[in-house]
Amino acid sequence: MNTPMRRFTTALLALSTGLAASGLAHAQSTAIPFTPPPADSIPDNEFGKMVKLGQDIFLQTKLLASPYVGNSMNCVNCHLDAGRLAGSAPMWAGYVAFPAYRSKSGKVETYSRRIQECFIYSMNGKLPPADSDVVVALETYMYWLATNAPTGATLEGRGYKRLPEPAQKPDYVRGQKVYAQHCALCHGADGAGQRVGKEMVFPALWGDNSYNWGAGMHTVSTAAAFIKANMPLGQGNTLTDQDAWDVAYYMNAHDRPQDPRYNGSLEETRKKFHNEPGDLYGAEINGVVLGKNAPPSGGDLRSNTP
Amino acid sequence: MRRLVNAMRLYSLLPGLAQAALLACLISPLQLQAANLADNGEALATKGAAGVLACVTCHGAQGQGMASFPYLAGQGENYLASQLDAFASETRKNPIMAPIAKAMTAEQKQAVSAYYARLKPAFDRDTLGQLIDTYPAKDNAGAWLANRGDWNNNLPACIKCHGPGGVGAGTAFPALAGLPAAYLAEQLQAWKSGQREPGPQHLMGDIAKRMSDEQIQAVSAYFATLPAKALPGAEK
Repeated sequence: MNTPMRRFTTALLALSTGLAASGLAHAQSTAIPFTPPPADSIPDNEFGKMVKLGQDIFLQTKLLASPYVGNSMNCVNCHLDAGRLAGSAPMWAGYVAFPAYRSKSGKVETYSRRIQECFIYSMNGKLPPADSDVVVALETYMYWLATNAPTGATLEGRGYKRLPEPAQKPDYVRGQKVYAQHCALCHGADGAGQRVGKEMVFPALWGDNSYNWGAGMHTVSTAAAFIKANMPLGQGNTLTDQDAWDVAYYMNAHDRPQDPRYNGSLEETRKKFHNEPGDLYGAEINGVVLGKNAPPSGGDLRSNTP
Repeated sequence: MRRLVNAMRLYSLLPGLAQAALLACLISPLQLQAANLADNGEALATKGAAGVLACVTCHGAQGQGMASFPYLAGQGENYLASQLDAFASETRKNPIMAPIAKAMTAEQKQAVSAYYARLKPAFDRDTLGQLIDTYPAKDNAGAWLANRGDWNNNLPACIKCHGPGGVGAGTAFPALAGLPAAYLAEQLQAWKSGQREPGPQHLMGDIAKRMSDEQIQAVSAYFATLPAKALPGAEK
């Protein structure tokens, strides 16, 4: 009688140690609640002017940072409420978590570097210099959003809350149905988004005008987490977990601009940067090998580069 | 050949009304169907039909709206047609529009929607469509809600779907700019109380329920005054 009980206890211990070691349990036990300063309280001084510029670039990135943006996306497309919303990768939570070691680069990176990366991948564009107005303004805005937050802390609402593994493997056909029912109204049946004049009102979800194969959102788990909490806009947390997984898979099972780290070999690039489950780069879906015929990265900056 | 020329000569001698009557006899129902949808819509809009009051009576000669009657000019064809259906089925309750929409055939609804969708909107779409007020005055609650939303109450900015300046986006999201404040407030209240069908994916039905009466007043006033304010040189 004693042995199974002890075994059980040992297993329980192992389980809890494992959980504590993982970032998730750490985040749950020590995450600190935080509220950014009210949106309308930007200081009325020289510092505030830079905060305001950063806010505006955040909301109208394509318009105001055009030399560095190759698609038609704006920061606010993935960081809702001007980067203020908990559960939507808020900037105040990101700001206090840097400098940090990043496995993507294998280096300790500053927040400026992190912002620059967004331009290369999510914006499918070009790296703005760290001392450019674009990076300085964005970083100043994010610093202001994090006013009075402790540095190095894990703040509640950071990133996108990872979903539990789905009951059923994410599926293209089910995802397509979810997409038609909940997403196509705004993002279009072809995923190309919708514009009013030059302004992209509903961002493109795949194709040459969307984020490229190097952006975080191309991973199915990240997209599922974002979608579950935030989509359809104003109806966050209404889709089931399974629906969010399926539609994230469907979205990312379409081709998009090439990974800027592409070295000419799909297989090598896949092995080096995309060797994770839930990363569809290099996968064959409906007869298409994703990434194989992807348009080169850089979007509409391609024609502008000499 | 001579017979045809003679017939034409004779025709040209007839008074206008008789000409029209003769033409009407010659055009088959099939040809009528094939005739330009928007032209049929124009006739209905300006002259009305059996049981259908001419739209221009309340919505203005160019569909530009009158008093608290909303403009129709430039609104999406699908949006207009779906609203006529909703009036007819009374899922959008409106004592004036219900009998009119009920008297209309499906073809008439389609035609009149096509006609109004092709008319120029009452505002300068290109100028207004660039207007995003990213940091409105502190006390302008309407401008904040319209441009930035109120995420404490899960309210996205109106312009996220209705387009910058509220000029409308795609076929499903109508223009709001310059609609009468009373009309806008009435619609939001109707969604809030379930008197108007909740719209595609229940979007507006859900959103209006989370809006306070103060927010409804403020945002209605904001969009109502937008086109005049957006004109170049106008005071902001």
